[in-house]
Amino acid sequence: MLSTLPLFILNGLFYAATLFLIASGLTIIFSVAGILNLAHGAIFMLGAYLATLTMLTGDIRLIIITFIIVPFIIGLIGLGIERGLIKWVYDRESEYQLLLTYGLSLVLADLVRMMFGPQPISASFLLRESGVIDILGVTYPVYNLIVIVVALFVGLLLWLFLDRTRLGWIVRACSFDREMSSALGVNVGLIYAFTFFLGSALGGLAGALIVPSTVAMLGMDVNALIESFIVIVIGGLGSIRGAFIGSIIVGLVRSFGIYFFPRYELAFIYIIMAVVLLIRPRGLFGREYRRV
Amino acid sequence: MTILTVNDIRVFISAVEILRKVSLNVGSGEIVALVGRNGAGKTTTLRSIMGLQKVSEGSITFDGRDITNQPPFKVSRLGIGYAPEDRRIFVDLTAYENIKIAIRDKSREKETMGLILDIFPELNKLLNRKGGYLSGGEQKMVAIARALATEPKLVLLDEPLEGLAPIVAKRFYESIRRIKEYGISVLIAESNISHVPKIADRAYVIERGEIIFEGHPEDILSNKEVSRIVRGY
Repeated sequence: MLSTLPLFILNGLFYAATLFLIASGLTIIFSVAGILNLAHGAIFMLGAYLATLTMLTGDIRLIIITFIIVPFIIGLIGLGIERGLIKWVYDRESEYQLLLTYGLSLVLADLVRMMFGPQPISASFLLRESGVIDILGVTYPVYNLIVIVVALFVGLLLWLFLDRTRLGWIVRACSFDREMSSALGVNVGLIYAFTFFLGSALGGLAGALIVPSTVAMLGMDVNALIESFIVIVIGGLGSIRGAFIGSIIVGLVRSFGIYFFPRYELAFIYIIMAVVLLIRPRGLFGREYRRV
Repeated sequence: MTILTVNDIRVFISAVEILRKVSLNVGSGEIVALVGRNGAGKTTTLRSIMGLQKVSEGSITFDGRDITNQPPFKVSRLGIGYAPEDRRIFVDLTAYENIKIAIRDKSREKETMGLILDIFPELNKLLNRKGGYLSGGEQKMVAIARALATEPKLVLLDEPLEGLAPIVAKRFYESIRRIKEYGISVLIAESNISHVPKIADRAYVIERGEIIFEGHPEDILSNKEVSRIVRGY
């Protein structure tokens, strides 16, 4: 057991890294625009499938550019969805918003099926090429370590953006009180659009990053969405710090669960979520939202 | 010269008529008070000017432009600052960040901050404190400072003196007069009639959504009927 402990931890952190990117996108959209975007999982899946287009070429330069281009394209798709569809339901009851984003997730999933076919696509060139490394007696793929570092770096950038820049303060102000932000001259509609761009780009980046280690397949959107929901419920809706801690908890529990209690691995994550909700209904770092 | 004209506006909230043909105007560099009891329609008037409340009839003109039912960010960018009654400070942001997000012209940041700190020198030592850790009076200062950060020609102050200790209220009189010295007009909603003569050049009295008096602030006190309505006894 002790000899495989580093492996469980690294696997858990790798899983947490992608989960953090998906969940932070979901939570930032929710905290600012107030939309629980059920299409976010499909956005992540679209990112994964788009990334396979270049990853199958085996051209290393093209593959590296993919990690910039795919999030940008997916961000633009998110922006288009917000401007074209979501924008019209901000003032409607949340049921309309949920129905719209759920419908959208089905449409996006069907689009992926039409464009890429029903078979899973494996594009593990980068995983193979980056090799393996020995860590405390455990052989581990270098690529997975890179993903962990990239997620940490993106988390740091997000924190710097939200905490140290005027635009970040505006985004936080809009998440707290849209009406007052607007009365201070902030075009809240543009901030919503920007948030959808940013949140979708994070989902797209997660999709592109995960492809070399696994496969792009239909249905990956549902798992990603459910687990990132668990992450943000544990961490607290609207909190990037919560998404970070929540994803580490879920990632590690899942990693250990697969080994120790494989039949109840998912159930154990739900139990943790239920316990957090019982003790802190807003999640570990959640706060009350003023929706005006 | 008149900078703001509110002309016969009617406002409904959930089919209830809250403002009934309210008309008022504010001159350039003037401090005007809108006096009335709680629920008389003061806040709704200010919110309607700011574009936060839909106006069903009538018009609002600011600096020669029709701003009726314009989105709040456009109204703000045209030159109207707003400090609401409940402050609405962004509690997760520091006082400085609260103010900074309202400063649109980066090249004028120093000048704008200079004006704000001249009016509220107390803010100097509060700038790095989170909004949630400020006292009620300090939050009111930040709310007004934030409105001033938008570089307004007119500021709407909703009950800025409410809940303040008398000595702090006196300090605010001074600040409001300093705002006027910078050439900024002020429309102030106030329910405490005793404050009004100390700050305003002119006053309107609003009761049940209708303007029932316009004149010099001292005249409200001397008009027994109006004074009784405002005081409620």
